[in-house]
Amino acid sequence: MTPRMLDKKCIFCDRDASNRFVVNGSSSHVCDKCIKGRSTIDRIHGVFSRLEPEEDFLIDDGSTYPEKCSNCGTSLHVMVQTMRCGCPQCYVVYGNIYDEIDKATSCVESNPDEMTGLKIQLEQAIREERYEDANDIKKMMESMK
Amino acid sequence: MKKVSLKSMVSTLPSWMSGDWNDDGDIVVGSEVCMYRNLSGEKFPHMQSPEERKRVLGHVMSRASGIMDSGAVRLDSLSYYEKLFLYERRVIDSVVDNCNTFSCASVASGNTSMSINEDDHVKIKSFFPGNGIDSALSATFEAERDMDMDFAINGDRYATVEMSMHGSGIIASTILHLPATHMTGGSVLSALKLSSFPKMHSMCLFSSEEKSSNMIIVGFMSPTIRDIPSHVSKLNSMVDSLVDIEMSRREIMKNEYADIPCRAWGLLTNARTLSSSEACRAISYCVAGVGRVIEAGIDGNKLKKSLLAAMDGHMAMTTDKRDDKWLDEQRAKIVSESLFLKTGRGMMP
Repeated sequence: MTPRMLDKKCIFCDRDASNRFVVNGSSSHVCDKCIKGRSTIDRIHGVFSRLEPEEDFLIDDGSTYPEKCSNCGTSLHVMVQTMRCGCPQCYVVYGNIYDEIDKATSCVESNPDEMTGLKIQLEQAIREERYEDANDIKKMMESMK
Repeated sequence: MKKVSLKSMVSTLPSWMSGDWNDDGDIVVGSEVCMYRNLSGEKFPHMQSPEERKRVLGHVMSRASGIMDSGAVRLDSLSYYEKLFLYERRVIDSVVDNCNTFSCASVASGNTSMSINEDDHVKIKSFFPGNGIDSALSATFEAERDMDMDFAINGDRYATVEMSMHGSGIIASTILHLPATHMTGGSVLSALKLSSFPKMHSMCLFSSEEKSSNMIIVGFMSPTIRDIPSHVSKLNSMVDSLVDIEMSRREIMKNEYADIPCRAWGLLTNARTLSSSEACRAISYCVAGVGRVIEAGIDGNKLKKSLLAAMDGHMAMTTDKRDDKWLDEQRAKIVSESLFLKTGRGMMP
């Protein structure tokens, strides 16, 4: 089971998008402005908060992901927003969404270079609420531009 | 399983402090491996009912008692300072955790401890002094094997609460003490030279800094168990390069920033009150300065004892008083006494 995104324009702003990223053979589009302005995690959350699972996330056979895990009741949206599963069955029900999205968004980056490393560090710092570190990393990124 | 008295732990040196702090051994403080596992067919702790949590706790505790002989403590019954004390001893990862509402326990034996029903059903944690990431990994896998439980697996990956941990369910990290890098104005994060580790998605390299004690934690989360050896070798090469950077910075410190450890020494030996962060930072600077700008003859054990006294949780466990000002005065007194040298307290000319 893998997610497929159907929107053809930029999934964040509906403008014409020149960047394509692929999730298991199906493509989705993002414009340059949105790529620069969003971190990977933000993009992951952004994708899922914009799209309704029933309409936009199709499994290979054309059916949709279930709204909730039948075992623990964790919904797809809650799971993606918190990045936490409720039970081992969630991984079976929703497939490996985290990996697919992580792969998809990493495809956007043209070359995984120093800047990529810093971006990942920045995301990590913000997620862990280490804002002083995040500020240091941001300064380093700005000095490299 | 017998209960552990935290008061009895106060007088013993934590395992990560048993490393040799003489010469340059203080830079690589310790190596830590955390393994997260969940029982097959059970909801994760945050989704369980109180009855389910109690049942899982009892089940895992009975297995843990067979492999760990030292004893257990119920985390949901501890006060803030008691948890802080365990956090300082590297037994638990966070003081603010789910244990206020969930039934969870921690058992420890030697260099390995186990948290039950914290975020995941089982968290096995091994902490070895110095650069002992291989030993920590071996001890962790051994404890997992000895538990002999049916852990939840999705394909070839272990199911964990945190989706980012789905895979090997392992975080391995090394704690480094880099005071000279801090005091000479270098950012530890820039010292990491991230560009030399391009495969960060597969390796999930991370770092964080504890600024008051000039510590940095570098480590990795591996998606698969088979990739761990190559990640360990990358981590070790990174640790080596950070040690080199710190050593070169200590030489710079000796020539250009000598007054910083000297001031820190003065603060430790003369201050009437010392907060925990002040004391940690000052001791850290002194460590870098000993034998360089501070008179030789201070052995590592004295600094270790003073570092213990500097910690909030440790200090709080030695007394029932919870008055911050009084604790700061006591800390200044204890640190000063533990550092006092018969030969005098002078600086190098």
